[in-house]
Amino acid sequence: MKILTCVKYVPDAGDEVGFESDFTLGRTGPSSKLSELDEYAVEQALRLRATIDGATVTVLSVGPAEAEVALRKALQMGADEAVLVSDEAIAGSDVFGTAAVLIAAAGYLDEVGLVMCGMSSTDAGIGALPALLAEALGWPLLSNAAEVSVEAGQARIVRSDEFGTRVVEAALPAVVSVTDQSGEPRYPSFKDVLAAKKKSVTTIGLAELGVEAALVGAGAARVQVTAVVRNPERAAGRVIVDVDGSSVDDIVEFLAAATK
Amino acid sequence: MSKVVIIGGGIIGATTAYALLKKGVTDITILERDTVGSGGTGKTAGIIRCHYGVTSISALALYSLDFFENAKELIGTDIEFEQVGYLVGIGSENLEPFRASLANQRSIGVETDEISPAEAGELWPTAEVSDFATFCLEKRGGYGDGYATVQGLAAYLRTQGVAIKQGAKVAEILTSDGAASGVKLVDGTVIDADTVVVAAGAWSVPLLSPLGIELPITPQFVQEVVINPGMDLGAPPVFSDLVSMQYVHLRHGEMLFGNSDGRAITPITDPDVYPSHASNEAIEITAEKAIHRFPGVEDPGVSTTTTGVVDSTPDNNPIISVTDISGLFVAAGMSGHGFKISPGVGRLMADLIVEGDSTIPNVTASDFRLTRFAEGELLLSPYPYVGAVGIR
Repeated sequence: MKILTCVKYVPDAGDEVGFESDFTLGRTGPSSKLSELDEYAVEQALRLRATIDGATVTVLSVGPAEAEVALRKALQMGADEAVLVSDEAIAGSDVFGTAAVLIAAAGYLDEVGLVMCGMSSTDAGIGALPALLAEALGWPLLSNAAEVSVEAGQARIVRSDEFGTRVVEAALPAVVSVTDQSGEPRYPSFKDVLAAKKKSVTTIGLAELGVEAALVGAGAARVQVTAVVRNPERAAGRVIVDVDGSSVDDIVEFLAAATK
Repeated sequence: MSKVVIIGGGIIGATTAYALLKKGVTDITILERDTVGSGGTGKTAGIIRCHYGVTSISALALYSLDFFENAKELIGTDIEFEQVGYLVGIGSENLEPFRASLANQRSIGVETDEISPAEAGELWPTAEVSDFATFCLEKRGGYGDGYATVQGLAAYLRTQGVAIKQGAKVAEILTSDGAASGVKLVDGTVIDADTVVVAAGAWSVPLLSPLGIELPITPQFVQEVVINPGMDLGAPPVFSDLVSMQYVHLRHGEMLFGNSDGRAITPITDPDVYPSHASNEAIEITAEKAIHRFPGVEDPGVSTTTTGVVDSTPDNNPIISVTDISGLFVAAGMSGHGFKISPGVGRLMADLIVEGDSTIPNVTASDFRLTRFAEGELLLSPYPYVGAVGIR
């Protein structure tokens, strides 16, 4: 069984954010990398692999050629194989377009029994992808897992949210998304780093997947970005100097005005 | 000599101010575009050693050791100097220049002893040492903390009346009748001075080029990999491995690896734009070298990576110099060894400002002159090592 782990190549939060002329995010900043939230998905996939006989971990990404960097990082962590879907026609896709490509890739790859995702990307932060994948595949979705296990063909997650802690189970095949509470991603051991060096990233285009170019890319996107505006510079703060305890009144007055 | 402005709140600016104070100069302002130590100083691996082929550099490092060893008494702060020693291992192809360099270092007072691979292996029990011809150990070497050192210095300087302005970005160096007259900040503030010292690393280049002074400094992107050894390695000496071309030292129980074969050093155009983490390839190179060199570390893994910028000159040696403009000085282009020689660089800069020549034993001021590049008289080691990047 393949554990297919979807990962995204994203700009680093420390880099100056840039936009292309069509207002899409500049994806290849100097520090662009594997999304940190997706590292949790890779980590859980690797842990599950150790508990399931014959399981392997395939990492899958949709992005520009540079996205190989993110897949290589996942290989260094210990993933077995990596697939990049890269095609000029995909540029500018929204989450629906990305989902269409990932779904086709999941069908293209054999023996996928479990799809793993992070809780959202760190750049767009939409978090809708796991549900879109589950819907299209017709598989159950176990989302926002803080713990994941698989036993006898059944996936089981623990999810904690504002309503409490729930245990949810579903029969495989299934889609599972994991949160940043699911367990710290491992640092690559040097043995895995050297093993990863011998592995290659398979790059495929839309033609191999049989996805029509018209269904993806900026033209098909249901979300159109019409402008990008810089946040206003922060104004100087107000400093209240307190020598006699009178600042309490000032602060209360400030809060009262701010919450009106 | 009354009013000095130093551009750059890193270790070079701070040690220059420190040395000027010791010479009785009191009206000193340090201008830092961001915060103290936020440039190269805060990112240095912090290695401290005197092992250099160029006599003047070795002598600057030797002078600097006194400061590092006595910082607590001198500035009242612990600068976190770990005097674990500095070990250099070489292959047989470098035996001749190595021994000649050691003899030269000893002739100026550097305490360095040649030791056998077996003795080195006792200091680093996890290391493979059979492919080294010989080693030397500098007992007074080790590693420090650039950020702690510059913060300690800045705190001391403030108590002595030095003005340290952070968030003060210089737009322009002002001159009058061919002499430095002050600086103008980006917010329009003008600060008068009769002496201006540019100590801003790679950022010095655009400060001086409008005045027709071209510094041959290239920002180089440097990557280091921090390894979790998964075991207690004690406190072995800093290890300069001139066979595999890497340097290693322990910091808080983790091993900091730097690659010195040049593959991890890449020229960049803007010293503010570079990756925040090491590349997958840099990690692979480190893994290959580390697994070969430290077979005794059973399951090493990447803990984190660090990156930074080195301000390199064509001969990989600093510019500590007067300029064609009276009262305008430059201390930049440290090329990766700024921290370990910084107290000496600051002193030499102060010497040039106050005395006009070096007062440090065995340091020839003209070695570091800016004009050496145009004159084609690069400052190179007489004892170059085969295969090493030219910083020894």
